[in-house]
Amino acid sequence: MPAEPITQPDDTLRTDTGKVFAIFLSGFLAVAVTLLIVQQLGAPAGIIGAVFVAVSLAAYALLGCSLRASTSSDFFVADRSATAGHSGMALAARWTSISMILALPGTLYAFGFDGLAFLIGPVAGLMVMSVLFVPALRKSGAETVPEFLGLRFGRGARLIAVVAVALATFALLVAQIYGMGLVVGRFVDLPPACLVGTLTVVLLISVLPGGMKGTTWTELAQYSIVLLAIIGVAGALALEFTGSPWPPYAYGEALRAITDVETRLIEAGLASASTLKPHLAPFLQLDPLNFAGVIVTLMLGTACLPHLLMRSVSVPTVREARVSLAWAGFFVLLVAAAVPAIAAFTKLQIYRQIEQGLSFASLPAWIERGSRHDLVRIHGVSVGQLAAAEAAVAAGTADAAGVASHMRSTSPVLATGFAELKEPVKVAIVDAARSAAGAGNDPSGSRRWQAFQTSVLPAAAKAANNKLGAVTEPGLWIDPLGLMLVVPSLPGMPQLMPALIVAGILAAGLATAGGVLLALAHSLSHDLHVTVFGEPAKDERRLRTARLMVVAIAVAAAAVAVLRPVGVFTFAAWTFSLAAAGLFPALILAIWWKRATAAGAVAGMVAGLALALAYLVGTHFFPVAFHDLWPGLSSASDAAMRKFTSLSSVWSAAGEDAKAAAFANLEAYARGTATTPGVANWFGILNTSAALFAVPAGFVVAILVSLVTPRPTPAVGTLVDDLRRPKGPDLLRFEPSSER
Amino acid sequence: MIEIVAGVLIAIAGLATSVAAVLGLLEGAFPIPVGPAPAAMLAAFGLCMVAHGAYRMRVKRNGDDRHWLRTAGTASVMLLLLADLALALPLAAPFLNAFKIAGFPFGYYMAAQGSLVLIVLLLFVFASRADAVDVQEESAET
Repeated sequence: MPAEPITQPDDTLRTDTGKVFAIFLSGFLAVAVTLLIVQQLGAPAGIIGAVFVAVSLAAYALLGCSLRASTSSDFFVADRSATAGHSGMALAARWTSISMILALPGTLYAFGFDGLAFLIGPVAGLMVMSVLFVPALRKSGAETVPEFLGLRFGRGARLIAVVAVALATFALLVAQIYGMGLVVGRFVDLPPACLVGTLTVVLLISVLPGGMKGTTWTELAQYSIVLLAIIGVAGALALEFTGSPWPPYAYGEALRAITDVETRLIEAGLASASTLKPHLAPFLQLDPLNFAGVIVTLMLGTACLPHLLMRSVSVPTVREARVSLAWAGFFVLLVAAAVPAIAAFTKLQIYRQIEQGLSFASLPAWIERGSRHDLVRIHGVSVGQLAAAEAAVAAGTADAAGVASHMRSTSPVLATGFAELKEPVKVAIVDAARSAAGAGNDPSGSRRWQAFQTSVLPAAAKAANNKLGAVTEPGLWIDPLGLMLVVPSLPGMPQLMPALIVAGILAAGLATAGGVLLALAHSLSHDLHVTVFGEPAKDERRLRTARLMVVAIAVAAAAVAVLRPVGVFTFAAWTFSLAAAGLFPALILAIWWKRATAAGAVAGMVAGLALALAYLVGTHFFPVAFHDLWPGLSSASDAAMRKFTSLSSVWSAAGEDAKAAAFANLEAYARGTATTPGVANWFGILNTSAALFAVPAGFVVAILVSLVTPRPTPAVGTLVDDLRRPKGPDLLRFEPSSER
Repeated sequence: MIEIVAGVLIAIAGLATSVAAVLGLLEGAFPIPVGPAPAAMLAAFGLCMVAHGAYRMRVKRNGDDRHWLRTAGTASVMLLLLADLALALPLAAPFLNAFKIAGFPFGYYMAAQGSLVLIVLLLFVFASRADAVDVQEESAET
């Protein structure tokens, strides 16, 4: 293969990571402190917050433009010039996707111990990556993951790999953009299209000019903000609890206090032993099988994510690739170890408030603000629902059914919550909405809050048998996606906290989105071109096509995000299963089994993807049919099966107009939720852990087909030997030796 | 060779113990309840020792595949440790929660921080060990 023109080694990225990180971190800290001072002098907190977020976004855009990519090698792999530390910290920024900051604290709050599976899995994935794939990936000199598979297995495998990458990661990209828009939309009153558009523009500015090279420093800056945000939130909460901000990591005291409060709540009748799920007790939400299943899926999936793999090989040598993953683990640890602290401190605060008594007549500000956005519900009702009901009444509906259908068309999430309420509660909401219709405008929402407190809440409490007139532990529900947005309103939290959280979420989202965007664009331009035309394009053409692809994919993802499809985060969770199913067997066999043939790899990838998709799509979209296919494999208990059969007969006996609703009920019961397998499952495995079936299936198929097809040529054996040895030039592109 | 023999003995002991536990012969024989699971893990450990002993004997023979053997051996050990840290320890949390460390119940601590810290340490150890193997077998980059 002809050598690419050897460019002058660019030393810009060979600076000391510690120095660059210190500069960024102190820069942001200085801005934060300045803003705090300005705020003390009287500036409104909202403006201060917006300035901080804007400064961070400007920083990413500037840094993205500062290191321009002039060759495709720059754009795809930073010309292999990043240090291990840079690459590691940038990888940590990419690793921290929006779910880590937005969804994980809430999940840990709701699940306690079981939520830790969502942290352990991705961290372990870094180790899997380092041991099994990365050295050979770096040695190969491949600039995308499909290119690596194509080197070993040929064009067919390369094409399937592109499909796998696209299937797995597009939803992840959409989820980042959607999540960022959601969060900013809470604080800025602009239409979603506007927000998504602005965010996409910032994303493009930070990613387009420099590609992988430019984003090296951007991702470092994003990591500093993420770290600042997580430590800031955990530290502020810790300060409130212990009087010293030191223990974002040493929150053992808080855990003990939680257990004490839990006992006292039960004694006071504010919680009942049968419904309270102790924070520390394992396997209450996820049984051990699913706990392990989540860890394994996240571990294997993380190890196969192209934007992480390619970031780890943006270094000059194989040795540095392994070290960069070790540094990535360290930086990831700093963030991951503090997230459970946030959940613990928050839970402690809230439980203490419940213990001291939260009477309906005088609920604190954080409940009011959370309720307005339907992030906090008491006995299932929230001010957000009341507002939507008022809108429905204003549009002309008259009763609970009408309000429900109006809600379904405007905001499905609210509609689901409303539909779960008992009849008298629904009637109370509709009545309150109707009396609001006659009362005129209410810009501050205080009249609505009053109405909520006096008429809706008591009705809901009565339906739930709560005679205390105060919030009880089972009556309080906080949206797992919303915990981080509720935290700043807790008593004692600094005013800059919402800005810090928003900045952190944006940093995490932009880092992951940027990484995925680049990886996808690289595959869809370079790999598709080679698969179709048989040889790579000239360098400038490759660069131009890649940049075009970046824009195209970003626009497509933004368009999907604006459409606000229900279940964006569900599909994003499918990423790990799909990545693992499609890529893991192929990547392992490429390096670790010489007998693996091209046909075997292709068959394995296809089989894995097909099975994963079948399980995911089947259990999510067609749970009833999925269950009926092989009812024996389901883990549903006898009681669950009885309920399922009875719902089934209700459906078949229903008249025309009620049939749709009856089927919806049946489906919802069969489907379960993201964390409880419904009736439709195999062996009780959650649908997001589909990798547990798909990866072994992929292996079996790949191995069998390889054994049946002719042995690979000796040249392949030499290739694999070469991949396994770090010594020697890269296989695909000659690099000047590591004197860099 | 010694390792293989020891491994076989331990595996047999573990297997026998777990069969006995399943058959209910061990009620009250030990001060702490011994279920089949810990005994099975002991048997698995014995088998690992056998595998490791066989691997060391193979590596001693100088061959072209020495570098690969040692790399694969290091990788296997690392993955076994990872499985331990990421799966076995968190799954053993109900058992470990009985002890406390720095105010944390030990099982929770290991799942929330301990395992993570150890995984990161393992990442650094692997990077250094794999590189050492490369250098010793003259397969490292210059």
